[in-house]
Amino acid sequence: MTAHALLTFENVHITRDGEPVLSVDALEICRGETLAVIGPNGAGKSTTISMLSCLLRPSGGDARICDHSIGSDSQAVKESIGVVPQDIALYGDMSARENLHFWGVMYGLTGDELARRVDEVLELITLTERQKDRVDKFSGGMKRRVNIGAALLHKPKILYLDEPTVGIDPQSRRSILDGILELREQGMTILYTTHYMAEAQELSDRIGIIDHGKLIALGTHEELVKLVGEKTEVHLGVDKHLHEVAETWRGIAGVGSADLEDEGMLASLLVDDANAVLPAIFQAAETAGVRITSLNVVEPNLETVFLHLTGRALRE
Amino acid sequence: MRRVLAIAWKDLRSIYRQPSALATMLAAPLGVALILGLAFGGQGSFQLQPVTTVVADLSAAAAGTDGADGADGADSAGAPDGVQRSSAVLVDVLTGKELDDLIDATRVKTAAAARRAVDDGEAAVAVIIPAGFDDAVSGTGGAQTQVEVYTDPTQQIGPAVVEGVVRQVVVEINGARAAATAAARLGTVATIGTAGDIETIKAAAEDAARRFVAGGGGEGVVIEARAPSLPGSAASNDPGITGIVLAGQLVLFTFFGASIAARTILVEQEEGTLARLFTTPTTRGSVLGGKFLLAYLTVLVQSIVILLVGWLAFQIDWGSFAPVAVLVLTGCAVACGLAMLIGAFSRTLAQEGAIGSGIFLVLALLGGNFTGSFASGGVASTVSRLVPNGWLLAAWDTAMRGGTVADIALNVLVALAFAAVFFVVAAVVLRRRFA
Repeated sequence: MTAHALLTFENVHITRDGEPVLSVDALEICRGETLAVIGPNGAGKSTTISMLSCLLRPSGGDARICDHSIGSDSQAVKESIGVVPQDIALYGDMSARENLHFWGVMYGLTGDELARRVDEVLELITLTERQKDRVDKFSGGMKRRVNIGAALLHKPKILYLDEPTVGIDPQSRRSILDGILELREQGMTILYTTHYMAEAQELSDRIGIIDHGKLIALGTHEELVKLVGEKTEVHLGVDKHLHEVAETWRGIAGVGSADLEDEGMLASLLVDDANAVLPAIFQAAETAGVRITSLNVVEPNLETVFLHLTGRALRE
Repeated sequence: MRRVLAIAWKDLRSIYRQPSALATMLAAPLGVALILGLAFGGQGSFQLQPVTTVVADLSAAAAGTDGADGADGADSAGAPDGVQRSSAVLVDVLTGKELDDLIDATRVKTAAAARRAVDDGEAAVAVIIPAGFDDAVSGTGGAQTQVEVYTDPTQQIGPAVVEGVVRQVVVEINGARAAATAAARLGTVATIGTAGDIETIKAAAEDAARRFVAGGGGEGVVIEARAPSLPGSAASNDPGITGIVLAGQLVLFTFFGASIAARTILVEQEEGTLARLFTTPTTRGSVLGGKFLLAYLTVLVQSIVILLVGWLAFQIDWGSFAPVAVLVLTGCAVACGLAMLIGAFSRTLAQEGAIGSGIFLVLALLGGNFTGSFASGGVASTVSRLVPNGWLLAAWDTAMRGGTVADIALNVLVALAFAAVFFVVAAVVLRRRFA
């Protein structure tokens, strides 16, 4: 365990009916870090959150949060964590303020401190004006915000967000993502599960890819891309046949391949770094008297990384 | 403790905001009591209206001593030494003050008038004493006669009361007649004197029989009817039918009230808030404690409301404060323990609803919530002691009759033992389930 690690996995595994459902040998999340865990439905994301929330006991190994074992010191762990469940877990017949007040009491807050934190969280989730309205009268996005707010009342050391943007409109989604970015800027340690690649890429410092209960890759976006050796695709359209210039492009350092389509009027190149090779590509075309009429650069993304690692698209 | 209170208060407020819960917990038991109260006179007790009865004494008419329409005849006319005739005895019983609260009798002159009064709905019963009734009764020759009880077929209880009274008087008359006949026969067989002596013996026997009937039969073996009560019970107050019914409904519907509270565990489980609660530093013991406190407060409020409404609206005297308080607290404990037990073994809300309702109704039938069998004696009463509500109902009956805490102590202890077993089993099951 490194000095800055807030959460560590130590050969954790969970089995159900004899079948392994989660297995993570080693993983650390540092203070102030946001780690996104991506994976398809049933990959083990929610199981991971449940285990780290002390709702599921590991079959073997341990995980430690703020140096407290989830197995033997769950009470201390619960005081350090804030959990935002995937489904809305609020009391619909109570107002937003009543809900936050209740959850604050459950986290051990009392008196003035409780009232102050409720006010602060209402402001953070931008629901101060609607605080007295019943939650079951709220839109999906507003409920999601209260759902998140309830986990922030006690200022947890680490926040678990289990797919917090599922099933809401783009505007509400943007609002929630902005709120999470704000928490990140404030130094909150966040464990975030999602199956939206863009969210993971935007919000997180590092990304873990989980499939069939196993953490199959972990690193920054760039590290993951390099890990699987994916190259950038450059698609070019020209006004003349490209057969001669294509040979020149293949000789440029950093260009892996150059394939022609549409009778030589289109070219698809695989390059290591588009920014580095594009000047040489344009120069070669100009020298050959060929005019480039269109350009499309496709950087490798998590989707392609996931596809490479698992052999299937994430949505599957 | 603060968390326990917060959980209980949150749900308590929610329950008492639900119209369906209020209907089950308060409207239903009070409605049942109101309906039954109105059905039995609306005075909070089982009071039959006096049965309107017409009496035609044709025997008196034949003897020229008709006292119909309120005219007092010489009821002893034709009888020796001023002894009342048997028909007059029967008429007096039916029209006398002793049975004023049961029978409202008037006399008519003819059998046809009597039957017509019933046919026209003016009377529920007509009692027709035939001509020659007195001669047949007073003679020792074995002549037969019969009193006709003509009833309105749409009514049952009233005619049965009158018929019972008539039957009782007839039994006495027949008894006296049998004794007289035996005495006369003895005199004949023994041939203890002349024919004149035998006639004298017969006359003396008949006279003795008449005097026996007229004198009310004397006191031989008597039966005393009384309601069962616990040893030491003062048993002085009549709780009335509405009181008994509402006590039964109170005990039964606290089961439903506690069930509504206990099922919030399943509601929270299905809505995900229970799992979320378990991610907070709130212990499982606090969550379960909050739910039990919730159930207890729910039925406590329910019980107090029902008792107050029963007292104010139905004038039910529940008894002294101490036994009533002990019974309310005990009843709440039993209801909560039972509801938590059912909740612990139910996986879904639908399952809990079906299982709970079934169990509550079976308990109510066994315990006598609907029938009052806990106080009837015999097998039904014994069976009622197999279930906690039977013990509670018997204790309520005692309290309403003026019993003290000491009088209901055994019932309370047994009921609390039931509650303790229910709660311990429920707690073990729930802790395992949510471990």
